[in-house]
Amino acid sequence: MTPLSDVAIGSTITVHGFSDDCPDEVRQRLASLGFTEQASVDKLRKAPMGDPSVYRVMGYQICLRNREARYVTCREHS
Amino acid sequence: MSDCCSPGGLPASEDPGRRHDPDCRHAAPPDSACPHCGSGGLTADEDPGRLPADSSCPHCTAQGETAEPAPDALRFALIGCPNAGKTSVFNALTGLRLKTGNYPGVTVTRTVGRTRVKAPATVTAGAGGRRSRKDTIDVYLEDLPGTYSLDPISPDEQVVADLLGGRLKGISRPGAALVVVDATVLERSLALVAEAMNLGVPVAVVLTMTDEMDSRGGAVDPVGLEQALGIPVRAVIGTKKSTLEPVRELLADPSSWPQPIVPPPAVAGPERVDWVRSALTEAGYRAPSEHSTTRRIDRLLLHPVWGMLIFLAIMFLFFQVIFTVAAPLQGYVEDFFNWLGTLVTDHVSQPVLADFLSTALIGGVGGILVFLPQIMLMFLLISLMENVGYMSRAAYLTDRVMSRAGLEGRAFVAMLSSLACAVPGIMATRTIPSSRDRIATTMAAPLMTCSARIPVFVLLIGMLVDESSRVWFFSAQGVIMFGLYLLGVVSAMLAAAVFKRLKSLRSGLMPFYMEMPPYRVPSLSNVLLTMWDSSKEFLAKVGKIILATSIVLWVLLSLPPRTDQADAIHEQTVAAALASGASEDDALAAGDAEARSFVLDNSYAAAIGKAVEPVFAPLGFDWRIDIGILGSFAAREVVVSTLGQIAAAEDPDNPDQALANMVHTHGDKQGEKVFTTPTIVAMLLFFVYALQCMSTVGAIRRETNSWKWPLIAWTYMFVLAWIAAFIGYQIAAAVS
Repeated sequence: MTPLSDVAIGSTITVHGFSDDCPDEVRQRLASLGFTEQASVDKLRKAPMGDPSVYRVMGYQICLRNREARYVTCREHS
Repeated sequence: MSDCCSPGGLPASEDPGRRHDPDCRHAAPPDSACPHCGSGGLTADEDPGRLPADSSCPHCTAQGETAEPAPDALRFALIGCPNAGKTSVFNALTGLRLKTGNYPGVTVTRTVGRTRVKAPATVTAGAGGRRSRKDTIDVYLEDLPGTYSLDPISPDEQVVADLLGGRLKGISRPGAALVVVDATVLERSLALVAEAMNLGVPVAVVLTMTDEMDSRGGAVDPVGLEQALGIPVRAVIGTKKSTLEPVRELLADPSSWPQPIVPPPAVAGPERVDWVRSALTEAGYRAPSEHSTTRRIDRLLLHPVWGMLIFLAIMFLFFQVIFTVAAPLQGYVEDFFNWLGTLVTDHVSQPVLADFLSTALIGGVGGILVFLPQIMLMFLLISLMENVGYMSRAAYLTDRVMSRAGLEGRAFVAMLSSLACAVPGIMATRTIPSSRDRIATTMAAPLMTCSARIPVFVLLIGMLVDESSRVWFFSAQGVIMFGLYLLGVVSAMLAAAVFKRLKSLRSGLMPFYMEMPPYRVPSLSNVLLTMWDSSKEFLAKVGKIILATSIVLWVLLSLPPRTDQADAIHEQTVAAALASGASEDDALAAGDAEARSFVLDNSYAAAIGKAVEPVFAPLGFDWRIDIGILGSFAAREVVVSTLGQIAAAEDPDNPDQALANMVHTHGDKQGEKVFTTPTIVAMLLFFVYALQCMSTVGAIRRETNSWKWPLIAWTYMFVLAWIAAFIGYQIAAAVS
């Protein structure tokens, strides 16, 4: 399982779940934002200094810092 | 007071059914400490959510029987994710807002609006004993802060949850809720709808952006969605007012809204995912394709190199507009009030009264209105950037830098605005969603070098180094100026970082997330409404504080008047000047300056200046500089004119020279020059840090909704200023 923060730009992944150290509130909020199990996520771009990154999930774009993206575990598509 | 007794909000002249009500409850001034009066600054008539009258409350009994707070008024909470078009729907439904204030005790803005809808048959029959004059009723909408979930993880979201749960002190629970949903992100938004449907009040959905949904090849059937959810669904197009009519009809009678017997799963999890999926299928949902214009624009605007350059260019233009374009407009305001002041002094013969009217009152009002061009322009630009969708792009590009100070990208614009003036800068913190970040930014923003410091720096740097001196190729004066700017910016970022470490402002686990909405053409009325609201609020709330301080300062600087002695000095000076061959105008001017400085030297301010001399003595300041510092509390640049007035008394022909040659009048330094290099360095550093600006204090008071934060801000900056000035003084003294 790869953390979402480590996924390469331009790739599409499927959300597997959340890492064990992910606090409950963060897990709940990421789920409200569309990062639910089996959701498909595209990593679109990284800010000039490496953080934050823009993802597309459920048809919209959202910007997350690596600190939070790290909690999302995912399976990379080929 | 104009619409006190007209329930329809119509002014007396326009409302034929209005009769004057001698017991109008507005006659009793509201008291912010009273739960029945002070719910975010809304008065009883305007605040349908106010708790009913309580006989043990002095404000209620004093108001008598008429104090029933609109008992039957329907109140709707407007819920929605950020960028869902919630505020557009609110604006379109209500027109002008009734009032914006804060929720009691917190820094979350509360906006309530009123709209008139056709009354359902049952209500027309005469509710609450008051016979209906028309077949319409007034209903109230409360525009809640945008939120992705009703399960709160931040203090700001807690307010939304508490209000909807009826746990907010002094504000009753809204009777029904409208969830505003952006059709293009329906899949995500249904989670919020599910949570709202568990509130226990009637809920309806307002579907926005349906036109964009069509153009992007997506599909959703509002009727199918209504069946799937079991609650009313109305599709609207923000720019077309006619599409809001069905919503208005809904507002008339929420008790008739269909509601499902079993609400959907309230918590995130597989069950809710299933519920969302089946609802989408029933509604014939087809996800829209990516917004192609947005993709193309973002390829450029978020490009690591081009995006950064364009960002810098946009920020440069933004800064230029609020700094340079506003300046001539501010000049006109100043000129107008100067003219008005002169008019008063020319026509009021009593000199003390004339001075009070022209300096304290007209000068004070002018001191408020002078900010207006800057604030209106800034909010115009911010509102444009936000509505177009560029604000989140700018925040994305700057987030890494701001995160060093514990803030987020959205604090950047507030910090940048503060380089022009901290007042609009502090008001710009409203674009930051977290109230903790808002306060931390507000506490740091006044350290950014604002334009009011420039005249002070120019005067002092001019006395410190010669115009022709060079550091390498650069003018030494310019290098010092740049250094002071840099010092201000670095100090502000450090201060924000320190404040973010305070327990009460720490973000903790609060995650950072920011939607990047598609670029959209903003609605002109929304942009203008934002500008209008912010300017109005500034005048109402900050204006009072500025005016009050301006009057207090006038009293300190101009009283006791000693009119006879001042007149005698005036005459002597004029006579002496005329005798030495000066023109009549010059002689009169010299007389005025001499008389003014006599009053100033013997004023209460002078007494205070002398009393606080020991505090500032380690910095090399004498009591005359202390008066200047006291006077500069009105605005920093005032220190230039105050020092000018004091110096003018010593040598009216050449005040600059007089200032440079000013010597200590008493104490162990008697006879030595006041403005030595160490003293000037100390003064420069003092003005880098000190919060010598009552307008900023007023703005902090307004935005944090308490006196605690302005007090903390003033104190910490004063301590920093004193320490920096002391260190600067010692180092400069050791070097020279």
